[in-house]
Amino acid sequence: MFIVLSLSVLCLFFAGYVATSFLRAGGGLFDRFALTLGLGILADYILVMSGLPLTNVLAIVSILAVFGALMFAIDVIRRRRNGETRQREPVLTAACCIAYLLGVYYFFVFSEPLMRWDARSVWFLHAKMIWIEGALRGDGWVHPSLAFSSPDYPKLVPAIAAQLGALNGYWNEFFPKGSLLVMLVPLLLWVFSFRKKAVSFLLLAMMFFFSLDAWLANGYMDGYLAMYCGVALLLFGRYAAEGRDADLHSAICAAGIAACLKNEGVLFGVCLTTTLVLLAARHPVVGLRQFVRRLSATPRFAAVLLLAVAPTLIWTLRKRAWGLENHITGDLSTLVSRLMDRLTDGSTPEFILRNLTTEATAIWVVVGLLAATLMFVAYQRAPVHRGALVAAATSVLYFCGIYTAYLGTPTGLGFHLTTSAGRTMATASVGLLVCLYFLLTGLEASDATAGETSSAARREGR
Amino acid sequence: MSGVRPATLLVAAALGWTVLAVVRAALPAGDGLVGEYFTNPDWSGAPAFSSLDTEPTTATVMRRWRGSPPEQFSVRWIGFLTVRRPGSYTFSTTSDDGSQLVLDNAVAPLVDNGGVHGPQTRSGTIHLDRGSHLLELRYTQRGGGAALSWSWSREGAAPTAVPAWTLSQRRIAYSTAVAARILDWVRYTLALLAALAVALLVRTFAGTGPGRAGTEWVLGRLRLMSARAGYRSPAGAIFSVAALIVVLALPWPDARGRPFLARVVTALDVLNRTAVHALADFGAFQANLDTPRAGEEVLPFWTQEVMLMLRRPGRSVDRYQLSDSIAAEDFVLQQIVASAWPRRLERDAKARFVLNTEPVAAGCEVIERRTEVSLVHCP
Repeated sequence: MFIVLSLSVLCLFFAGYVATSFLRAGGGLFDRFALTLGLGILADYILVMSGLPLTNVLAIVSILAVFGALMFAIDVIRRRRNGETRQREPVLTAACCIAYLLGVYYFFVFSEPLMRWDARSVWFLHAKMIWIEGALRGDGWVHPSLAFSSPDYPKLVPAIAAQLGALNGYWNEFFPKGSLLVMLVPLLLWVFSFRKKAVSFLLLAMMFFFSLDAWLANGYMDGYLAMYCGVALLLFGRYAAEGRDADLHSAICAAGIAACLKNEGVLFGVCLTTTLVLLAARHPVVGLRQFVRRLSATPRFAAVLLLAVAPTLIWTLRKRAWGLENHITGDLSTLVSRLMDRLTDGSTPEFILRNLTTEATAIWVVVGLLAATLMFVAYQRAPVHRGALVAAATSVLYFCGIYTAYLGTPTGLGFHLTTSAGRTMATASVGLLVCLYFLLTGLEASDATAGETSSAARREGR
Repeated sequence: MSGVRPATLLVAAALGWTVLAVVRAALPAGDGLVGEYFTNPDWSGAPAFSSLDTEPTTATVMRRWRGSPPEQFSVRWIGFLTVRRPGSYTFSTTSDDGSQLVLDNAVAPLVDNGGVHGPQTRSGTIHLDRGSHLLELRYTQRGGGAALSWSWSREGAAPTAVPAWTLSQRRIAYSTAVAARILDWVRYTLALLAALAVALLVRTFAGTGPGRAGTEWVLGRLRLMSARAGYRSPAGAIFSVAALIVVLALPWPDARGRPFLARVVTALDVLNRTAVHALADFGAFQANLDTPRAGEEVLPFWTQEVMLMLRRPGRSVDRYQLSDSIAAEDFVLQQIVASAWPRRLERDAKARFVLNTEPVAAGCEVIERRTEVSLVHCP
């Protein structure tokens, strides 16, 4: 399995290299590797979504990977001939940390079979269905006996697991979880691209990994969703401060992957876009006008955006064609009346709020820390990182979205909150953590210009 | 104190407090009784909610109901009481309305203060050995005023309130309860020391501390350390470290969870131990990955039996149905549907799985019978 997984990651990386070579993305070593792999994962998913047989998808990805490997080799040789040398980065410690985490997670993930409800009844049931069918087609998804498994959920991880099944030629309750490890690699690379010897990074890395550790291994998607959303906010924040195109591409790629993990990922994308529209409409770097101008003037940017958005659009069209409906938003008029009933019954709004903030989760810990840090930063007159505002606003909007979803849930509210509040709040918590991270970096001398767009950095990035 | 720098004292006290908080969280002592709150006066049905209560009193009850309890309600607390010395103990409850105290699962309550009445005290005496004793305290309120308190005394001494540190959810040794109590006291002391260190630091920064030389020494060291760590100012560095310590000491991400540091330590331990265990028995680890259908043994037993019958060589079942008794178990039903796919669950299928305890419908023929489930063919 180790060899199959390593080859899969390598294949996806080189398939993604075709895109990143075209993008000529800048950035550090870890960012470039993560973006390349992320785009490879998205491209592979688009191929699966197109309805092609899995064997054909694997063949196409392999051909792309060979092509990408050749491009990679040519790039390396050309750079050596031209005497181009990239600035060496001190990556050894970080690389060791990543290798250690991947190593222990390899054993952790595969030591437990698929047994948790969401894992077995949703994500990896869908994976098995795709593997049995040999492709992602419309047959079977609307069968009444499968209604419990939420067939309308996105299929990124199931698609990867199904391809691992196609490579292995059999199915069991262990190896499909390898898809989780594939998803973990770009995450680790992106998070460690923020490495520095500071408390802020220690806090970020620790709270990222150790607040979500079980959900990164048991087959639930919530941990990965939270991490990808958090990484998107981190990268967007760094782009807002430093203006490097590589960060923008990576942020869009991470948000695109998040939208393919769970429906809440789409909600996150909507919240992030809304934040940018509301907060940064006239901003010279992240503003809406700048965004539209960049879209029309830079085909590379448009290509990344297309790769990131296409899977969600295709899946939306597929769902409509196959008659798949979400159990919360299915019937709009019933949803609205349920929402109004619960909003006005005098107790439900407070009940949900209490559950989401203090009873099922300890999100108040981060909110309290954020408030204290904000006051301290203001008192110290330290610069407030632009990413902090984007992260905070997106998290608050996301919280409101989830709150509304609970108000509209057709299942029993107590049951729904008990079984899912901790997981759904993970993304909001991670978003607030990112905000805390950016605020703390303002206290560090190395980030003295964090709040100011460095034109030099922008020039270098492009 | 004169030889210890305030900053060192603060860091040492904070670290010590955090470590002790983690250790204390691991000791199952003094964590109170499990309280089950019912919206009826006779403890029937499922409780409206449960909580951990260290003081089963009127104040706790009112707080749990958020100040507005139902007209009639009841509460049941269950846990363990740990006593140090063996001897004759007298317990009393004062309640409005009824209360009962049961010790060591006895059939008759030790204190029976039941019924509908105003504040009334009843007592009972029992011999207790050293160690933990199962305790159940019941309280019912049938309208009107509400009151509850309880006390104990040993060998005829004056009654006193039962200390919170003697109550726990698990049976523990008395030494564990004492260790937990000592840890609590040490933590309070460290908190006081930390407060003292903060006061000294404030004085130092304000220039009224232990002399100009001392002040400059502290400030110089702080500036040097924070600059080396890449911070704009010593205050920023201290704040960042304090934020880290606070996060490590608080429950996160679960509201009712352990301190985050304990979670991190446990997670690292589990990750490493899993890896070491897998490497030590690498053959079994690899076999799980390489064997088709490996891991299905975690499925519910009925699901495993259904799958065995569906996969019997030579048997071709594309559609099946389940008896109402099997289908009534939501989880089992879902696991069967997920495991049996692409075979589909259909109401009119001829292959039907029934429990062996169920009668087979007329006209149906038993194809295979396993321990608990049978496959029948119904034309």
